[in-house]
Amino acid sequence: MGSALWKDTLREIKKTPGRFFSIMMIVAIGVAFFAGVKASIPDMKHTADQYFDDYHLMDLRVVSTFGLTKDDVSEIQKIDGIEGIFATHTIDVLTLVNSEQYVVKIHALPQNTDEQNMNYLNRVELVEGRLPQKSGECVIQETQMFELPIQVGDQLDLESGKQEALSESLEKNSYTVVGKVKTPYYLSSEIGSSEIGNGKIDFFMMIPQNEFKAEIFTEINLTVSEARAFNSYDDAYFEHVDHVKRAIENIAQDRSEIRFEEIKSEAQKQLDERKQEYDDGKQTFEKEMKTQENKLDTAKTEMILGRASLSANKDRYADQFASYRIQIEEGKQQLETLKATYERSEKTYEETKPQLMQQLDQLETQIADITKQLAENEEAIKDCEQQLKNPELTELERRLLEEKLSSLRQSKQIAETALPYLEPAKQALEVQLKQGEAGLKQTAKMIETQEQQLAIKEQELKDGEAKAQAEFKLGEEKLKNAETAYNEGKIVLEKARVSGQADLDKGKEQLDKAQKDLEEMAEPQWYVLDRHAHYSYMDYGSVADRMEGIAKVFPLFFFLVAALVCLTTMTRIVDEQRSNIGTMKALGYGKNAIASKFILYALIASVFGSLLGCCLGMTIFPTVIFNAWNLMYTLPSISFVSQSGLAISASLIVTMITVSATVAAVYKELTETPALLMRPKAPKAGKKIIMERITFLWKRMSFIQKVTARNLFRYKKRFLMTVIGISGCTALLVAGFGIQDSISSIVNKQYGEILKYDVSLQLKEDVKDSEQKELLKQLQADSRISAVTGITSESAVVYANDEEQTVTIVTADDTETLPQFISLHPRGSDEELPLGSDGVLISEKLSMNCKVKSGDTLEIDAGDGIKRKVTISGIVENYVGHYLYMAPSLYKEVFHIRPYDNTFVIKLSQLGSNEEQALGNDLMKQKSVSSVSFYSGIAASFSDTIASLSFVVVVLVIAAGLLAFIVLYNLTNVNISERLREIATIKVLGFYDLEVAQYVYRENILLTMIGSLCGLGLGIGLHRLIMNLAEMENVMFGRTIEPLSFLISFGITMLFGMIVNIVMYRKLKKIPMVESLKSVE
Amino acid sequence: MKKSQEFIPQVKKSEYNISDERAELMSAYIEFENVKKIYSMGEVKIAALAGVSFTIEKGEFVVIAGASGAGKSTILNILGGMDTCSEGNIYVDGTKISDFNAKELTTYRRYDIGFVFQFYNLVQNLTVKENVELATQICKNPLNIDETIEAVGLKERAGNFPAQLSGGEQQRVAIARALAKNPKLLLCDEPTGALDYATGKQILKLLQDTCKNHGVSVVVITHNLALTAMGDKVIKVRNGLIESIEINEHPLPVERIEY
Repeated sequence: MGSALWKDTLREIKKTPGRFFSIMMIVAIGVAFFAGVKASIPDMKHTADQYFDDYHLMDLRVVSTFGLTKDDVSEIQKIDGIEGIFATHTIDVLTLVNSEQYVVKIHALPQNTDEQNMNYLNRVELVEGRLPQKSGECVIQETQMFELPIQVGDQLDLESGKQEALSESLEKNSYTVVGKVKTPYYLSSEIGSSEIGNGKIDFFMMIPQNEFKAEIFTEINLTVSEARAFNSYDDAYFEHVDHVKRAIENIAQDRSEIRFEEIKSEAQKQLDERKQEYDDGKQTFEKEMKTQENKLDTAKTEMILGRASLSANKDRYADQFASYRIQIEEGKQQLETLKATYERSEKTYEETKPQLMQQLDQLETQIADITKQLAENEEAIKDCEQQLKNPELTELERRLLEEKLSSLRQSKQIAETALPYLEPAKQALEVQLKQGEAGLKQTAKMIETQEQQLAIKEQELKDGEAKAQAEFKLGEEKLKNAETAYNEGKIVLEKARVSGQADLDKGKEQLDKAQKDLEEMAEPQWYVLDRHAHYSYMDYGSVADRMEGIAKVFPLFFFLVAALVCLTTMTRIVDEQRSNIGTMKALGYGKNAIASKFILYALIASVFGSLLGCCLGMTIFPTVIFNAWNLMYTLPSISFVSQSGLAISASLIVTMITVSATVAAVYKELTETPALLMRPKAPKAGKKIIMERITFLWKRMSFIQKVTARNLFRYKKRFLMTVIGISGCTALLVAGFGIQDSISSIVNKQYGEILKYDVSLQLKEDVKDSEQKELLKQLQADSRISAVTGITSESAVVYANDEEQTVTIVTADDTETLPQFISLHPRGSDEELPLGSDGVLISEKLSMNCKVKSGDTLEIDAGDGIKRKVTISGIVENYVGHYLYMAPSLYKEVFHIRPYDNTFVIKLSQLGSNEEQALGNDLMKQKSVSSVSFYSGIAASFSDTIASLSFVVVVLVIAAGLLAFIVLYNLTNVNISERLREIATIKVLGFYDLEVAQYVYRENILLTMIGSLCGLGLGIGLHRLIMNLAEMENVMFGRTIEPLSFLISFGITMLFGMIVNIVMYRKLKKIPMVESLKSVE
Repeated sequence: MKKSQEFIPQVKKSEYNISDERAELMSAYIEFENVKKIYSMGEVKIAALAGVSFTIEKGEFVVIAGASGAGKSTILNILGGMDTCSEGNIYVDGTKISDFNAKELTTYRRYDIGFVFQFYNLVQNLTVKENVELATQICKNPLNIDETIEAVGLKERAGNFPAQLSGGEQQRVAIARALAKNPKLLLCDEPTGALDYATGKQILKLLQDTCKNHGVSVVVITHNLALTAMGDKVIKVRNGLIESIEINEHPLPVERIEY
C-alpha cells in the first residue's frame, strides 16, 4: 500500500498544484509569523547578551547612599568569584550647545582600555574618532533617535548645575569631543533622570578616570567570573551571579556604618553654616528695614511738625492781621470820630464865631466907649477941677461941681475898674476865637495825620498778607514734597520688604527642608545591584518580551486562516475523490488507509510549508523586528540563536491543524457506505437566505445580485475563510500605514497643538523675584515675542499601583492664560480642562503606565522623599514625556510651599531661523536665564526616524499581499473547480468570457469587500496592539490612523483581489464547455 | 432570413450575406457540409468526425443516434458552438458558423441555441424561475418566463430549488431554460438518459410538442435507437461517419414509442 499511496498522493499533488500551493503557502506564512515573531524574542535577547558579553557589561554594581571609599573597594576585591572590578565616578553636568541646555551624565573610562584588561568594564564601541588620550578630551554618546548637534572636534563647556563649582569634581570644565561611542551600558537614549537641569539626562559622556577629583567613588562595577557563559536573560545566570551578590551584601552593613557618622556631621556643619548665613542675611535685612523705617518715621515726624508750624504760622499771621485790621478799623473809627468832632467843633466854632465876634465887637465898642467915657470923664473931671479952681464958684456951685466931680470920679473909677475887666475879656474872647480856630486847625491836622497813618497801616497789612501768603505757599509746597517723598519711600520700603521677605521665606523654606532632610536622612545603605536593576538590560528584555503579545495574536490569526484554507481545499479534494473513496471502500480498504491519502497530502503541504516558513520566517521576522527596535536601541547587528525546538513545535502545531482540518473534511465521507459514495453526491441544495425574507429589499435586487447573495451565504466555510483572510490582509495594511500615521503625527500634535509655545526659557535657580519680574517685563516688550507667561516646571516622581514614573510638574500662577501656551484637553476633544484645586491633570501615557484614571489618587515625591497624595481630576492628551499639571493653590496645599516661576514659555511672532538664532543669543545674555530651548528643530529630526520605519510597513504589506493572494487564490480555485459544471453550463448558455468572469468574481469581489471592511475595524485593534507594544515608557504614539490610510488599505486589498481575479481569469477562460456534458461524479 | 438578421444585428452583415447562387442552391435551415473533426494526440491523429454532411430543416425534429464514441457528441458540440470543426462548412440559418471565432461562437450560442443536458445542469443555488432567468438574462428576445415555466408544467414549482424537484421536473426546467431563450435550434443531449422510462417519455413528449407548437428545430442526440421512430429525420452515426439519414414521413407520437 505504501508506494501506491505515495504515488497516488504525489499524482494528486501534481494534478492540483494550485491547491497544494495554497495550503503550503498559508502554512508557510502561519509558521513564518508564529516562529518568526516568537524567535525574535530569544534572538533579541541573545544579541543583547552577546553585546553585553563582548563589551564586559558589569554583572553587579555596588552603590551607596554615601559613596564608596578605597577601603570599600579593597574589601570587595577580597571576595571570591570576581573577575573584574572598576570603581568609578559619575557626575551629572550641564552644557550649553547652541544656547540649548543639555544634561550630561559623565562616566569614567579606565586609564587602561586594553582589551586584555579584565578590569575594563562597560566597554565602549568606538563609532567615530578615537578614545580620549589626555586630560580635556572626552567621547560622547552616538545617539540613535535624535541627533545631537555636536560633532567630533567640538568643545563642550560644562557647568555643575549646582551650588558647588564643577572644579571641585573635575579637573577641567571644558572637554573636547574626540570621538563618539556606544556602550551596552546604555542601549537606548534613555539615560535616566538627574537632579539638575530639566531633570532628564540627554546623553552620556566619558572622560578618563583620573579627571575626577573626588576620593569617594560613586559606584563599583564588577563582573563575575564565568558569568559570560550564561545568557543573562536566563535564570541560571542570576543563580550564578547571586553568590557574589550575597557575599557583597554580607560586608555591606559594616562598611556603610563607618561612613555614616562622618557624613552626617559634615552635612550638619554645612547646614549650620548656611543657617548662619541665613540668619545674618535676615538680620541685615531686618536692620536695613529698621533703618529705612526710622528714616521714614523721622521724615514723617518732620513733616507733621512742618505742617503744624505752618498752620501755627498761619494762625499767628491771621491773628496779627486781624488785630492789625482791628487797629485800622479802630483808627478809622477814631478818624471818623475825629472827623465828626471836627465837624461838630467847626460847626460850633462857626456858630460861636459870630457871637464871639459880636461880643468882641461889643467889648471893643464898650472898651472904646468906656475909654471914650473915661477920656470924657477925665475931661469933665479936669473941667470940674478947673472950675473948682475957679474960686468964684459958689459953694453950691462948688458943691455941685464937687458932687459932679465925685460922681465923675466914681464913674471914672467904675470905668477904670471895668476897663481892666473888659480888656481881658476881650483878650479872652480873642483867645477863645484863636483857640477855637487853632483847635479846629489842630483837629484837621490830626485827621490828616490819622488818615496818613491809616493808609500806611493798610499798605503794611497788604504787604504783610502777601508776604505771608507767599511764605505759606512755599511752606505748603515743601510739605507736599515731603509728603510725596515720604509716601514713595513708604512704597519702596514696602516693596523691598515684600521681595526681601519672599527671598528670605524661600531661603527659610529651603533651610527648613534641608534640615528636615538631614534629620530624616536614611540609614546608610549599600545597594548591590545585579542586571535586574540595570535599566537598559531590563528595558530591552521587556521590549523583547513584549513581542510575545504580537506572537500570540498573529499566529492565532494565521493558523485560523490556515485551518480554513486547508479545510476548504481538502473538502473539495475529498468531494472530487468521492467515487474513488467509494471504490476503495468497496475494495476493502479501511478508513485509515483511505484517509491517509488526504492526510498525506496535507502533511506534505504542511511539511514543505513549515520548512519554508521556518527558513524565511525565522530570519526575516527577527531581523525586521530587531531592526525596527534598533531605531531606538544601539545594538550591533542581530545574531541568531538556533531554535530548533521552536521550529519543530511551530511545524507540529500547524501540521496538526492542517491534518485535523483534513480529517474533519474527510470524516463524513468515510462514514458513508460505499454504495452511496459510488453515486454522485447530491449537489448541495439551494436554500433561501435570510435576505429573501426582507422582501422589499430582495425584490429590488437584480437577478445577478440575487444570485451573488445566495452564493455568498451558501458556502459558509469559504465565506469565513475569505472574510477572515481578507480582513487580516486589510488589518495588516491598516496597521502598517497606521504606524506611520501615528508616529508622524505626534510631533505636530505635541509641539503644535498641546505645547503651543515656541521657546522655553529656563531661569537660574537663584533668580530673585524682582529680577524675574524685570525679565518678564522686558520679554513682554520685545516685538519678536507675541506672548509670554511664567510657569513652574520641576521634576518629581509619582507612585501609583506599584509603578514609579518620573514626571514634570507644571503649575502656572496665571491659569487663565495657560491654555494659550499649554492646551490641557483630553484626547479627541477640544474642551480645555480647568486647573482646579480639586485635583491634578496628568498626561495620558502617565495614566496608562500607572494604571490610574480620573478620580484615582497618586503619590508625588517632589525630591524631598515625602510622598504626598493628590487626586487626579482629568487625563490630558500628551505624547512626549509625562506631565502633571496642578493649580498653584493646590500646589501650595500639597507642598506647603508657594510655586516659584522657574520657566518662561514664549510664543514667537513669525520668525525666520536667523532671527530665532539672534533671539536665542539675546535671551542667553540675560543674567537670570539658564537655558533656551526652541521647538522648531524637533519636527525635522523626528521625521528621519519615521522614514526608517517604512520597511516595517513594507514587510506588513508583503505579508498582507501574500495572505490576500493565498486566500483569494484558494477561494477562486475551489470555487471554480467545484462549479466547473455550472460555469461550463453558463458558457454553453452563451455567456461571454467577461460575463462568466463577472458571474464568478462578483462574489469574490463582494467577499473581498466585506473582508476588507471588517479588516478596517480589525486593523484599528491590531494597530493599537502594535502601538501599545512599541511605545517607549515616556512617549505615547498617536492612535490616529488617517482616513487616507484606511482608503489606501482598502484600495490595496481590492487591488490584490483584482490581481488574483485576473490571474484566475485565464483558468476560467480555459474551462471546456464539454465539462457540462460529463456525468456527475 | 429576415428574422435572423433581427436576432443577430451585431454580427457583421457580410457574414450573413450569402451569395444569390448559394441561396438558390441551399434551402436547408442547417447544413453540415463534409465536416471533419480531427484530434491530434501527439503523432497520432484521431478523426472523431471523418466528413459528415446532413441538413436540418426549420421546425424539424431530428434524432441523431449512434453508439458511444460514434461521433454524435462531437456533432452536438460542433453544432452547439461549443467546439469548432477541423474541416468542412456548417451553415445555420444561412450563416457560416464554421468560420466563427470563440467570441462569435459565444454569440451564436447565446442567441441561436437552446441546450438541454443529460444531467440537466441546473444551477443548484437558483430556483426554477431563476434558472430560467439565468438564460433569459442574456438574450434579446426571450419568451415570457412564467409562460414558459407554465408550458413545461412547472407553474406550481417555480419557487423551488432544483434539489427539491424530481429528475423529470429538473429536466423540464432545463427545457424551459432552453426554450425561454427563444432559440433557433434546441439541442438535447441524451435528454432522457438520466430519467426513468415514464419520465423520459414525458420529456420527449414535451420536446416533440415544443417542436410542433413553436416551430423550433429540435435535435435529440441519443444512443437509444428506440427513439428514432419519433424523429422527422433520423441521422445515424457510426465511426465518425453518417451511417444513414432517414426522413420519417410519419413520425410516431411519443406515447406510442416503447423502449
